[in-house]
Amino acid sequence: MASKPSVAAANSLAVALTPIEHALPNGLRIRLLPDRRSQVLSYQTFFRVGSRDEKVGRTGIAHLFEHMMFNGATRYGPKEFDRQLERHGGSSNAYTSNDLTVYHEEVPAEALDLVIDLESDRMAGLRLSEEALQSEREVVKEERRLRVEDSVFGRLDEEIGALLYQAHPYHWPVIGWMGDLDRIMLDDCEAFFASYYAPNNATIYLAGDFDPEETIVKLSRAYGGLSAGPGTEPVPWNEPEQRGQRRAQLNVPAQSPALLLGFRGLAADDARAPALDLLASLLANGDGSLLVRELVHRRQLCTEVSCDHGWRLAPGSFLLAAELAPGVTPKRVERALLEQFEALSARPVSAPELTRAKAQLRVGLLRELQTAAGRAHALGNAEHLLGGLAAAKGQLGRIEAVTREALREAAAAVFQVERSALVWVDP
Amino acid sequence: MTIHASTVGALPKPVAVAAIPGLSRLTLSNGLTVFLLSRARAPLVSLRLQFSRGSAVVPAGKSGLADLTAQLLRRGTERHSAEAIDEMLEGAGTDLGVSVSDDSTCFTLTAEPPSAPRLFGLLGELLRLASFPKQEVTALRERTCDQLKASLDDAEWVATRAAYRTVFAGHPYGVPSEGWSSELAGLGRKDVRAFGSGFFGRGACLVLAGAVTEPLDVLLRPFLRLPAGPEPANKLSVPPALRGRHVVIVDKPDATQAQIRLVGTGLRRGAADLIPAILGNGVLGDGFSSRLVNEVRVNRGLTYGISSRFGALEVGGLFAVRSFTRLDKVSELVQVVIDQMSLLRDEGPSEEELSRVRTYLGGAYRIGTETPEQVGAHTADAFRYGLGDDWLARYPRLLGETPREAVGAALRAYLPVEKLRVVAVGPAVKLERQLKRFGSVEVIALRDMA
Repeated sequence: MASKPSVAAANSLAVALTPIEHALPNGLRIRLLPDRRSQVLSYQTFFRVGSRDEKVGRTGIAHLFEHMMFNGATRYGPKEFDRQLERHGGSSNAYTSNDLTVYHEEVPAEALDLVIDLESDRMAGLRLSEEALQSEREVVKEERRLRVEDSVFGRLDEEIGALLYQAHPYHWPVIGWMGDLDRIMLDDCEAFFASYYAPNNATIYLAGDFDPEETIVKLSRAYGGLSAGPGTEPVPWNEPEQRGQRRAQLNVPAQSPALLLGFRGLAADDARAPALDLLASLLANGDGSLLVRELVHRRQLCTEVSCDHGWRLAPGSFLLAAELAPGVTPKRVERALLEQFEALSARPVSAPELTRAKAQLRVGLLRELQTAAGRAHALGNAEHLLGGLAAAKGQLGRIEAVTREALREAAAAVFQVERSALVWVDP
Repeated sequence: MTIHASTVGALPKPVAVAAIPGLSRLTLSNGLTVFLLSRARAPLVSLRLQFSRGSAVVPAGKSGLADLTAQLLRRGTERHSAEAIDEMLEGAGTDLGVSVSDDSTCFTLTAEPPSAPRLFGLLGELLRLASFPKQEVTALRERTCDQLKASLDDAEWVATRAAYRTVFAGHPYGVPSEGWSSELAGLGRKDVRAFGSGFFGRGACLVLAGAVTEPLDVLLRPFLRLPAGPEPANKLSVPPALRGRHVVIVDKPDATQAQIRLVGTGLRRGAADLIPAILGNGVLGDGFSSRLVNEVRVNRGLTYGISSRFGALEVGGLFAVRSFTRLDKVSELVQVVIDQMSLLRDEGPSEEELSRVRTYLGGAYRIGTETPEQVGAHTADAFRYGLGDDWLARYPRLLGETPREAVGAALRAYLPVEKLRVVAVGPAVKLERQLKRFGSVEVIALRDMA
């Protein structure tokens, strides 16, 4: 029995994703989501830079640079960033994606002044050294060995990205090619910082227990003296039209056969993109989803099926991952997958199926918004990738508005064999 | 399965837990302890039903049985097929969380309030009327065996399995909850039915948290029919103590880096020295400014990640350092870790370090109890281990009040520097030479870890 969207859910989402907006003369944007019931706060700085902004031969610099941001600045020297945070009960981390780099701190509410001081210090004057670069380069290589070299799906994922994109920077992995990591020099890092880590390329999201008026004063004082950067160059969408399926079998050690089937999807701000979010849920979210029910439970071709459809600024990828049961060939699973995609493209799903997928996305979003970190990140991610604050606030409405026919049209537009890629291992 | 004869009557009035704002407690007529947490962060209500027995009570030779049984509850009842159950859960936008650890078995559900009565009713039905269809038992068993084999590609997973097996050799804590595939392959419907009968009733607690807007008697009705009676005494023996140092290598010839664990016995959950040990471990390897992160990652660039912890269970515990590095740096990393452990054990932490750890762990606890679900998990955990209803309030106080001397004493007593097991997953041919200086070496075939 499928549930309908509740007024409570819509109200809760609207409140959670409606920030107090502010901007400094140097271009820094500020988004505040105060919640005095909380005893903690999350401070997230989004920079509009990711692996898409890298150049051939220097892949991985966006991610490597993210590591460099923890190695000291003007007021706080090496090792001080985390030491200070932890001394005040907080913690920090960061991630780099194809499109964005995000730094976040989760702290007790009373540590706000410290976080502002730490973050503004490193945006104002990061201390870059050859010694830190060498150390972080080795750390990133270990990270790459962990996530790619010694991971079957890490290797498959890297390969399918390279097949789906031939001209656009989405072609290379966020962590970079291993060979390129050794080519990144201190000069490259300094230029990267000057280009992309200026206040006019950043937005601060703050959620939790704080006074918004006081906080704007503090942020203005801390960041107001920084100069705007020169601005960044747009990354063109230069991907040529794909005219046939691209395939690769990887010869890597593996215990069981596995495959990744990928389609080039849609940009996150495309009006049809919410249909892809729903299709991802419909296909592989839960035991009752189309692919899990059919391929895992009924036909027992796979031991696990999952779907990955993340938002991106340019047309992203829609990936299906399958771990195969022993003795099952990748060819057989490919056929079974394509049957499902053809069916989705040919006729609308049932009303209960669509309602179910909508309920899953709605409850997932509500759960995410329960924490300060979840609210800050959900707003930042949506504002950057969906195309602005209005789109971020209206994301549930975008989902609820998708009809069965719109879902079919999106499936027909994206799930085309001649625009797909397939990679597999078959030990 | 014995069904308690109680019908829905007036519920006893919940009694507030004074130390925890918004938390109250009541006991149903069948003995089920219920905690209510009226602290909503969103229009969602969360349920956590935790039973005080887990995989450690599975009969010898039948590893994986508790996990298999718990997972199979949703694969059919006397009233509904597996697909109908999927539809009820996922149609409401949620799913049933099932987790089995050594000491407990837990079911979780988070849903929009109007769906809650229907979904809670479904969970009650699964617990009382699961039919364990033969074809579902066979399918899940086969799939789990296949997944265990596929997981051998994941060196982190292998290392963790090997670490527990090594430290708790011959004890139920050394047996993974998912089971060993050689034993799992022999389980059938008869085993599952026998194990499931009466298992999901006794000694449980239920936490309802968040937007509890529907009538309480309606929400709790499905659980009034769970079997009554006290939890049977836990008969687990204390895990044997370790002696000397020993090296275990799981041979994974294709790996380009080695997963490393330095492990030993730790403390049980109720031990008085656990908080001092946790504080001391914070100095060693909990947090980004801990000694291990500083020495191994920041100063030497040997790894992307390193951490240590005391993991505490009902009758024993595990101390573990977790890291990984490239193949030619394994002995260097192990030596640095042992040196740091020795130094901390012998000299103790500085007041400044301890001060950092007190606030760091206190802050992490505050951040980690932000949502009703998180508070519910801590409440159920405190109930399971008999820590008291006020544990959520006492724990941060203990972090602040434990004297440095007690931390130093706990580190001297429990940091297992001389009784370590070094577990490494990687090519044995490259690791054995490097690691033999740390103790006698045993090499295990990768397939034996499935």
